[in-house]
Amino acid sequence: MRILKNPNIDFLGKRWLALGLSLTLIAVGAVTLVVSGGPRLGIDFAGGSEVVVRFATPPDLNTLRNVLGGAGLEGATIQEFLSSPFATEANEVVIRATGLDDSTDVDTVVSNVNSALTGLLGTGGTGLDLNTAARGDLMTMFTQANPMGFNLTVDPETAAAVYQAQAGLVFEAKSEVGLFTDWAGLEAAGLDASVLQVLKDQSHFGAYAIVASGFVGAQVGQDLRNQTVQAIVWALIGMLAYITYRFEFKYGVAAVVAIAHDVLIVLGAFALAGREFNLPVVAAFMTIVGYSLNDTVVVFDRVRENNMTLRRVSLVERFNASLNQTLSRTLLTSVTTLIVVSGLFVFGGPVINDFAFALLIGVIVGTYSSVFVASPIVYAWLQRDAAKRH
Amino acid sequence: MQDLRWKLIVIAVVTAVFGFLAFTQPMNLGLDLRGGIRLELRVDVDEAVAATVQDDVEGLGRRLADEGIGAPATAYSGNGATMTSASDADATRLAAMIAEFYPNSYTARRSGDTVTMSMLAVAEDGERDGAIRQALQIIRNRVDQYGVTEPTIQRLGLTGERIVVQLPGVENPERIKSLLSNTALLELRLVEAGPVPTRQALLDTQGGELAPGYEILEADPQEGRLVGFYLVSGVPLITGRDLKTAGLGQDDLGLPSVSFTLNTEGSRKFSAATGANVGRQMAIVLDDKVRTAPVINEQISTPQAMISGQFNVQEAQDLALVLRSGALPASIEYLSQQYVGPSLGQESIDQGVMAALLGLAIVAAFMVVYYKGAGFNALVALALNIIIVAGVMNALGAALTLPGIAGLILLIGMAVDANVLIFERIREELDIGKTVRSAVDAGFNKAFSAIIDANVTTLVAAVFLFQFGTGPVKGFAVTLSIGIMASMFTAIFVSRALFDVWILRRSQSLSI
Repeated sequence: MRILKNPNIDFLGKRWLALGLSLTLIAVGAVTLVVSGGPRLGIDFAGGSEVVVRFATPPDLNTLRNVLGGAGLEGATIQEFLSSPFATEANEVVIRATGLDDSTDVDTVVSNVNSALTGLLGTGGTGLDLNTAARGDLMTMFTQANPMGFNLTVDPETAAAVYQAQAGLVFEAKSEVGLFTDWAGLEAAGLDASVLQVLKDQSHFGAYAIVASGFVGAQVGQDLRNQTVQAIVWALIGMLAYITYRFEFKYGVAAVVAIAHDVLIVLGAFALAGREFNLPVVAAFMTIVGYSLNDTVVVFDRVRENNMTLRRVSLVERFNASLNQTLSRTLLTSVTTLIVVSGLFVFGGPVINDFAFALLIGVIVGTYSSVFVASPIVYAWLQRDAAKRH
Repeated sequence: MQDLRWKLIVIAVVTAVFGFLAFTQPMNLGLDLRGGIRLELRVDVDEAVAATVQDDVEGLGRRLADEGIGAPATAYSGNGATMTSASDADATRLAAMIAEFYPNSYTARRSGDTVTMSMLAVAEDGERDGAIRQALQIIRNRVDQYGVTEPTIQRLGLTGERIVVQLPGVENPERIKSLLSNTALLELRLVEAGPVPTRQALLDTQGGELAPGYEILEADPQEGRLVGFYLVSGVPLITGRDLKTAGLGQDDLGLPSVSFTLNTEGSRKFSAATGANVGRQMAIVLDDKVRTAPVINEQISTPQAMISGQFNVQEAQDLALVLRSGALPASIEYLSQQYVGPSLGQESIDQGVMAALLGLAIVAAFMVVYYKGAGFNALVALALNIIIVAGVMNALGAALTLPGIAGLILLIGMAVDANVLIFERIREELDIGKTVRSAVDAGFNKAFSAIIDANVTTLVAAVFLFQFGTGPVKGFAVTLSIGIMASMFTAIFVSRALFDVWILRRSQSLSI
């Protein structure tokens, strides 16, 4: 089976068209990037919020994921805190999220988690839920019930101070047990008997409590990011040196330009699609670079060979011949790669969707760039040299 | 014929070895797939601030000494110090020095012969932040060097001093915990006196008072061969920063020890210091405990030294590791340790793995449809590729994450490229009327340079990424390199051998 039989396409004749297309794509991407204020960074790069929740009974994680997703925490990860490496269920989970509208505001995430969980588990009783109540809620309840019989009009300060202290004891007891499931913890908390009675009358224990919450820093901080950029620059220099050694400097430069071209376009596509940048996406970019490079060098190899065997033929024809001779392999490889990537993109689920998206665009652009960017650059450079010589 | 037999034997051996590595032990799965251990720890940033204050006060003391002014009596108070000089004039000079040399770090107030310096809030925040960042960096180094791949290491809280470390499936949490919290501050100091059994006895030999610029350090109680207290120079000759590398060594009794090599700057200092102090003792101090105190017999210009002691091999290895990765800026305390479940739901995992396998299957089918007989050749290469990559990854203990699996499948999908290059070339040669045997020969020969150059270029990039990258970037470089080498081997060597077998059996036709 063959797709192509001796193709004879004038690739170089379309180089100005290609240049226009490339510049347009890059420009569109660049404008989008500038307008949207740079690529959208995910939790790996920007950090996010972490909320530790304790449940009365072990929750079903799938349900929890769905519910949180519905409450504006789509990308959230949920991990169980297991009592041993072999435990299969746990009462405590840690939720990590970038939050609504990319805000890493911990309070927003906490209130989203709260609304999702209340929706899922219900309030679990009447009156105040001691597991989710805030200090203010307790104060209001104590003051209204006024079990210790202060004269609130004459001396509100004393009442406030005492009830404040009582509320403090409740929270101390809560941080002791994490989640109230019975009255034992509160009965041992040293509360005034009348206050305890108010609690028993007017409040109950909900099915979960937020044990801790806070900002969690980027997994790839500034330091690591700088190191990575440095490593990439070195990798590019190494590549340039190797291509210069095996071919010529011109070929090396052309390959690097093609890589920059691909990365810029994929970056632009990412911004346009509003997708999030996380660690796997960086791996995808590096893979794209490797792919594009591979493709480019194969074409260059053919040019090098034809420079020996087709000396009498003009430069344009020589380049076109090389591109046509390698065309079927170029297409085949990109088809097989695209098959894999499309599989990941369509069926791979949300986790690798961004990764697959980057690759999908990257493979197409990388294939295009070895034919329409790298080769024309070398051709133009060689032709300019030839013109100078005459 | 003989040649071919050898090739087939090599292929069989490779398949067996990597197959063994790949399938006899369970795959090491990442945090997202299997979960692991979660450690929350606190960096004692106050300690880092206090250490900086002490360094700066000692620096001031040296400057004062240069001007012939005696060191003031100093009382430290966290982020500051109160220094009482011999006279009002000395104190005035001291206050002027603080203003001159540390204008952005301290405020100084003089009253009589006493100067109170305290760190500016901005400078203190900077110190705290710097200490956390440095601790993060060093913990990352240690995790990397220990060989745990795909960890997550993050700061907790916006200005927090807490760090959360998650490691996939760690078997020995206590060992990694002690590795991460080992301060590992290495210093080489000149010994003035000692060892003396008690601190007081040592002070008595010095006229009851510790002279400025000196410190008393205790021999490590764990170290059986050394007891007592040493009076050592306050300023170390060499610190852990002068270290180039450290590794497992053997002392003269053949017991495990930690040997270390100094960098250029370190060796220069070491050589000068040993040259100037022949006959004296030098203490090798680790975390403020004297580990050994050998006598300097001659000027030492080979930049190597050794810490011996009662280590077993693993302890020596671990100490070498923490020395290599650098000293922590302050001590670390564990707040909690918890086992955590996988961060991905089973649904996501199944989806991802299914998609990856599906892609792979379609590529395989495509190769057979497109290249017929030769396609099967590519399939064998593909399968062997998977075995080699899985075997090496397993042997390296690399943790597989879902995106990692997707990346590997992709790499393998791309690896058919080398086969495609060869097959297309063979077709070209057949088209111009060559016989099967010479078409295959020419196909391989001509495709060879393209395969080599394309792959080596990428390999060069991967090597640089490995050399200069950290953490995830390094891991990526390793995976990429393994994939490239496996695909070159299978395409050039394995595929060729299979064609040879084919030709040997029926040389007249080729199904391609």
